[in-house]
Amino acid sequence: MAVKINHLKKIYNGKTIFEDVNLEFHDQGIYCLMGASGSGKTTLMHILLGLVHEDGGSIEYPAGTRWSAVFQEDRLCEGFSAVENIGMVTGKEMSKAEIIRMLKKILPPEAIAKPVKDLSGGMKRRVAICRAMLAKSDIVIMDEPFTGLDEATKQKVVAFILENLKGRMLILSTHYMSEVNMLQGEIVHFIK
Amino acid sequence: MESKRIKLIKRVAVILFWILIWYIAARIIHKSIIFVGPIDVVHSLARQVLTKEFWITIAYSMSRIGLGFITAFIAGAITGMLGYRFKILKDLLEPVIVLMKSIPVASFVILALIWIGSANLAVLVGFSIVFPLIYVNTIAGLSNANSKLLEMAQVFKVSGWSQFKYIYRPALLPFLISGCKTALGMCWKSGIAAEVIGVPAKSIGERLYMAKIYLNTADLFAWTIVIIVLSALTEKLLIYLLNKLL
Repeated sequence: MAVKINHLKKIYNGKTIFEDVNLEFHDQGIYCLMGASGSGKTTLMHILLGLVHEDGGSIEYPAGTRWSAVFQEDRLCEGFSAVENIGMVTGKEMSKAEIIRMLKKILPPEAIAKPVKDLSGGMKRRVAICRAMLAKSDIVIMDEPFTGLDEATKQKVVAFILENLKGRMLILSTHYMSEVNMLQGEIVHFIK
Repeated sequence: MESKRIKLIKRVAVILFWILIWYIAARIIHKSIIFVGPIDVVHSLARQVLTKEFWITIAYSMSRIGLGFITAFIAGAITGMLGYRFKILKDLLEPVIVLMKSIPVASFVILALIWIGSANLAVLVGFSIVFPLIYVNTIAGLSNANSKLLEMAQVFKVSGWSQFKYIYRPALLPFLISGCKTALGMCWKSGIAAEVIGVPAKSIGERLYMAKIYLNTADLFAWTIVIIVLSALTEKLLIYLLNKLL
């Protein structure tokens, strides 16, 4: 499994966000996109996820590739619990007990059954990360996943990600070298 | 924060205040043909409530108005969902909905009376009032679904049923409840108005019509209170059911 980005170009409202982006991601790799704010990292991720169309160039990846993601915003169903939010994407492939067992690794037990709207920002982030990791996918995309997490929690979450990656490709965006080191990822400089 | 008990006392006090005003107004006017007081209305209600006919009348009107509401609710919700999904259907239905919303109830009642007679008049009139309201609110509620969550569902390939349960349903419910409250009140009003015009036997409309013919203002007031109570009770039941079932 490989993802190849060829001469990718994106224009938004008449303004070129990026052009001639050429990148290659390989199976089992952990790639950390680094670049200034506004360089188009989020847009690139949205193109990869099929949410935004490119204005030039192409992206190649095997047909039937399944994606999971942590968006810049948590994008959780606020009225439902963490378990329900994850159950929504795992379907029948994962039992409720199994979801709870996994959630307990990164979330306090009392937070698991509460509606997500009652959780703190950091807790919501962890639910979003857990959702992306537990969903059946071939490639995991994460847009600044550790926002709002303290150092100790970040380490716990990184361990959780590495434990559950199970050979999948991970592409994430970050501004911090410490996060790259924790993940032992490969830096991909994203410049316009 | 006010306790529930204080709130209840306040509410009862407000109601008692207006009943007192009503009583004083009736005493001042002192003409039972024009205006009756609360005591006369209670007498009228007490006299009727023990008769079998009273309950048959209520059952008759409730069944007709209820049938009109339920069929319109189901049809409005399903058509609304289809209209949201298929724009061509929404465009096709738009003039029909505008027509249904703007046609005067009285004109429609007379037309419906010619078409189907008086027995099921309230069903058709209720339907014509409720359908456009539920249809419009269903489309508005579904359109209000969070687009970012829908994108998330697209990425994770969430099933259609789960998308409805977790994303569309929370967006739809407030619109549907608000639409139902308005629609149910209007369904009662228009349904009873249709009965007064069509005068089907054993209906609340017939009772109101008779009260008018015999200038029995106490009965008129009593049946009006019965309609208000029935409307409020059915609204509470409906909201309860919507929250339970959806």
